[in-house]
Amino acid sequence: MTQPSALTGELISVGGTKPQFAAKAGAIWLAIIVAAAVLAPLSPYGVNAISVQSAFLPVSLHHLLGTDDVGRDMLTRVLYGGRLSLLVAIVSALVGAALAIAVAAVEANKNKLLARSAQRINESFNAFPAQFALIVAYGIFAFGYSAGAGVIGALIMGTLIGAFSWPFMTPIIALRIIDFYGSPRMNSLIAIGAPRRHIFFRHLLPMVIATIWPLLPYVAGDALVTEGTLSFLGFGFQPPIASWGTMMATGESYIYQSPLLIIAPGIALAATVASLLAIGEAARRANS
Amino acid sequence: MVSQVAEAPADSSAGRPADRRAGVAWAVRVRQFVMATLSVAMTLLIICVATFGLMQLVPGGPLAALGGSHGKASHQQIQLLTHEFLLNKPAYLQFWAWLRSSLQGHFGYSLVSGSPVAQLIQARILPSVELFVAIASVSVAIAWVLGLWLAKHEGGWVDRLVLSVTGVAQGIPAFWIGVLIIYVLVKTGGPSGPILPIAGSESYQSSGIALGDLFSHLILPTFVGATVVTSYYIRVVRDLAVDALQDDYVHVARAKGLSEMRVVNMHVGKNIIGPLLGLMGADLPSILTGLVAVEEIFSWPGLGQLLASSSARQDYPVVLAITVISGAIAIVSMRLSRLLADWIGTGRREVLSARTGGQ
Repeated sequence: MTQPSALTGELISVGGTKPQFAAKAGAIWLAIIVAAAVLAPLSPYGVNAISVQSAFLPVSLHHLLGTDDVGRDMLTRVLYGGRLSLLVAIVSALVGAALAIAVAAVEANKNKLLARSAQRINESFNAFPAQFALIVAYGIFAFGYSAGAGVIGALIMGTLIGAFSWPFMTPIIALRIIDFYGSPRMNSLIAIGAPRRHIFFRHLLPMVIATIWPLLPYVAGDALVTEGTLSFLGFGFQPPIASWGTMMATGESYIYQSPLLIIAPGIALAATVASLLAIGEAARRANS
Repeated sequence: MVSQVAEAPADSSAGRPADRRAGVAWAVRVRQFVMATLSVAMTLLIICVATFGLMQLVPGGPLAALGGSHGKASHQQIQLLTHEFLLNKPAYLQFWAWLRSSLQGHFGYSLVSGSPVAQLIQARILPSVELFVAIASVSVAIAWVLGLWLAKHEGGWVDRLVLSVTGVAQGIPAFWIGVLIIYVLVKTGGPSGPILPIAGSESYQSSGIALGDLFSHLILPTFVGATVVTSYYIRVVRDLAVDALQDDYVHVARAKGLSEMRVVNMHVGKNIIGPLLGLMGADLPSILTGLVAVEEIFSWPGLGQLLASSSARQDYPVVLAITVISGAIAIVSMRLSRLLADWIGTGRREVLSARTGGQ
């Protein structure tokens, strides 16, 4: 099963001897980082509370991750940054899933012309250098990215990243839908006169969702890296908005004063992405 | 060459006359080729339309960066450019004009420097290709060797260690590794500077083609660009090989008394090259776009850097051309790698059956 999937661009089943362990560790980390991001306002420091006297403070009991170039508490900013970065990841996974399902439905259509057109669109988005398009999109959405202290920006960026993340999932879903149409289950549903709506909501949709959800952690992880890279290059969120990407961009400028400024958000990002990948892997193994 | 292999009597269809089968195979191949070319052309057209459409959405239009109170261009110059790029005409006419000249290799002029886009891109292609080839060959080679070794020693402590490390490494943003490596090298480098070049693709003193100089400049960008891809590929090769080691042909090869090294390297290893190449082709767009960050960090004078700087200066003709060209490269290589992967896969089997059939 793994071999032909590599040729269709599907993710190959990869994993360790103990994927469950990695997935468990990943789930725990993810729970911690999500809870911490949600509870970030409980921090005694403000996310943009500048105090120039306390710039570049080392790690201490007062500042568990030290302070940055203008004296903001790093831990607070990492947690607030997690809010935006995770929001981008969640939105892009949802948008990607919706688009993947929509295009797959057309690809599975009995009308050859429609199906072929959908396949061409699928292929072109697959080949499209997404990050290039997102860099161009910055020219269009630069104002939007800063809107609502970054929250609206995160919705926009998540949607944009999601708009390029779906192509690898679509053929997998389309195949499942086509299989379902020809399955004995479908035939018996028609034979007992089940209404179309019942077939769609009770049988087809649950099957499609079960197929797609193990792939979504990959999309979310990829979106996190994309947000980081875009913001780092200056084509995403802009300082003083705290996202893991903008924090790494600031961190690079002050790396010789305090390398922690880039290490802390980077580790938060890398650990979260690794957790998502481990969870996705375990989910796909459980599914297959 | 492919057809010659196919003409040999294969086990599944041994009864049919060889010449008729060859004829049918040719017709099918020609048909497949035409269909594939058409669909690639369709896909490319969609990419062009999408990119061009994206450009149309930029607020203020493509000349926004030039004009206005901060712009350097005079009213006359802007009018000249507007005329040149048909900017006062409807979008579909602009697209048609752009597409027609692009197909002739003329991508218009840079809004910033005024030089032809084709010339700008030409100057940047070689460094990008060098970096890409280095990353691709290093990652495939390491993944193949290490993945096979891990599969042979499945469950050992090295296997577990590499799986944990690659599991984390495949999620790290490449630029982050790059920035930290530069930091460490500069910090530990002492007065004579870092032990490896951290910027550019050649030394100032170098003249002509200096391979050693190029290689030393390539080491760090390649390492950073290859880390994430290699981590993923190692896991893929290992898993494919673990599965393959349970296959019948491996048992047969062992039963024939072949050494374990020969079984793993020649039989299993050969079968994994196909999927690995297919995967590489499918990943090409993401590897290409990943080059932007790597080239930025290491000041590598490639296409990614040109794209980033042009985008920051809203030099849209350049951005448009780079996006479309990389899309075209990506789609063609995706198709080619899939063909190559198929060919390696089936070619082996057909040659094998031809050999045994002839005896």
